[in-house]
Amino acid sequence: MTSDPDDSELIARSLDGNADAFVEVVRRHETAVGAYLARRAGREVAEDLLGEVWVAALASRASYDRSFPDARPWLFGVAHNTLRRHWRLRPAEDPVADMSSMAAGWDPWSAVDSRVDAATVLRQALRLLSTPQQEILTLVAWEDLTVADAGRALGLPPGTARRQLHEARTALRNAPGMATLLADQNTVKQ
Amino acid sequence: MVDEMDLLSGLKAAKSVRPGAYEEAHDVLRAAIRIEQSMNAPKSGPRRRARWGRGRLVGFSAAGLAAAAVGVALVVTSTPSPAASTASAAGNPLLTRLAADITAKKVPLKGNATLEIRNRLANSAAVQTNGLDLYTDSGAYFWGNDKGELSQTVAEKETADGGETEQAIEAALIAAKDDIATARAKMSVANYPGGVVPKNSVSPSQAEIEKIKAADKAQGRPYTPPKPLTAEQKKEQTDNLIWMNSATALTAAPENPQVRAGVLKILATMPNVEVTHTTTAGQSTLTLTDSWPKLDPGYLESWVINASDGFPVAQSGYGGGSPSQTTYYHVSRVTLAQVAAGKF
Repeated sequence: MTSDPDDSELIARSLDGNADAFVEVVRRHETAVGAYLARRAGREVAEDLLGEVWVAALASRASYDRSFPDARPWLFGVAHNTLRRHWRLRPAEDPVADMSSMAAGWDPWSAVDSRVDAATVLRQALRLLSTPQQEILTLVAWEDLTVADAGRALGLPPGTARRQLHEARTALRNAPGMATLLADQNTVKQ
Repeated sequence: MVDEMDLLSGLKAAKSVRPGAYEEAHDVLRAAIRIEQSMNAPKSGPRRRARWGRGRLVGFSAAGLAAAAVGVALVVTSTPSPAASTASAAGNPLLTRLAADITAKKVPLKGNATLEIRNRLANSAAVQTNGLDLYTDSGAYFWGNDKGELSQTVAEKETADGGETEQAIEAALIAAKDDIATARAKMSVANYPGGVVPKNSVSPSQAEIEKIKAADKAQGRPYTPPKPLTAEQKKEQTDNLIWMNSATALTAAPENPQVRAGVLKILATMPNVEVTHTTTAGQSTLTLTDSWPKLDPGYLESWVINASDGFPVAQSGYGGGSPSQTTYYHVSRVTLAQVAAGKF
């Protein structure tokens, strides 16, 4: 009885010339990476960028750290860089969902529905966080990564990632309106 | 107890990526793999973004390169054989007539390069995610994600391919002189560096076979030698490469009437190419559709060209019953100096 090869093994095989091995890695994670892109840039842009993410991952796979059997955080990192480049180089005539946070080339909130009051409060609170804080929060909350894996996606050591997540959560809790929102939510729950 | 992370999780909903987009992204990836293999550089990625990196492949000839990739996987046991085609020398009358009309017209060229914007807009040359392609009359190819980046790559002479556009154009020019057999032979290998089929796309080395054996053994599977292509598949592979590389020539040098005429003469001899009169974005067009049922069942690819001058208008690929997005071509003439200076 044998088990399926892990991602690092498949990446190694692809470097040895096995064309299907890397495609298999992509198949394993494409839904998660597609959702990552769609949550941050909307479906249309996500669909446009997906192929570019895979080509970028293919091009950089020689540097993959094989001590990690799961490639998903690494692929999120590739998608993250692709997305930032997309925003940085986007033609001026391309419509943007929300220009207010474009300065840093990073707008994870364009796909969020702001019609819901609680969501509006939360969204406004998130806007007060720094870009790295937003990034690590969403990787953990939306992509179900551990804090260590989120750090890996962003190129941060685990300790730094934990500190950043802690600071981000504190900042989010302390943002205007959040205390009331949390109190309301917990009152309803009880 | 609800905390801030729970609240945040509630905002994760977004419209899902459609299944067809995953397949298109696979095509892009497979083409990149295929090109990497043909360049014999499996352990390092391209130094710069190649043109398929922005979706060129999906809107260009996904099946073409995907089919070529299949050829590698299955092990091609001989080089493509243009003589294997059963098409008549005269070919499709609509295409041969248009080729003759184009050849008869003498239109002086302006500038020294062709700027091409591929987008999803039939009536607008706005730059979208495919960026801008620039083909010089001397055969060099440049790509930029936007005008600024294209200006920079031109100023720095940072070309973006290995010369396959030049080889495809050369093959088209041979066809324009009615040497169709030679033109087909050259067109069928125009995507390879130097027009030479790489050794590793013909058959695997002993070392590669040993790796496959070792991998199979590690997985507890019996070693299964890769199956060679059938004669029909080999013929389709050749036709597919000719189709794909002809499209390269047509889009790289559309302002050159000899290139357009040559491409049409070659495509007129393709056995599976069907030609129909159509109307696209208000202009009279011809739609050329090709297929490779033995290599890629169910997949069709179409090129739309202007019915009176053969300029490329649009390209589409269809697979598994769902149409892909159509790519439109907006072509203009510029000078390299203009582009380098950002004045275009």
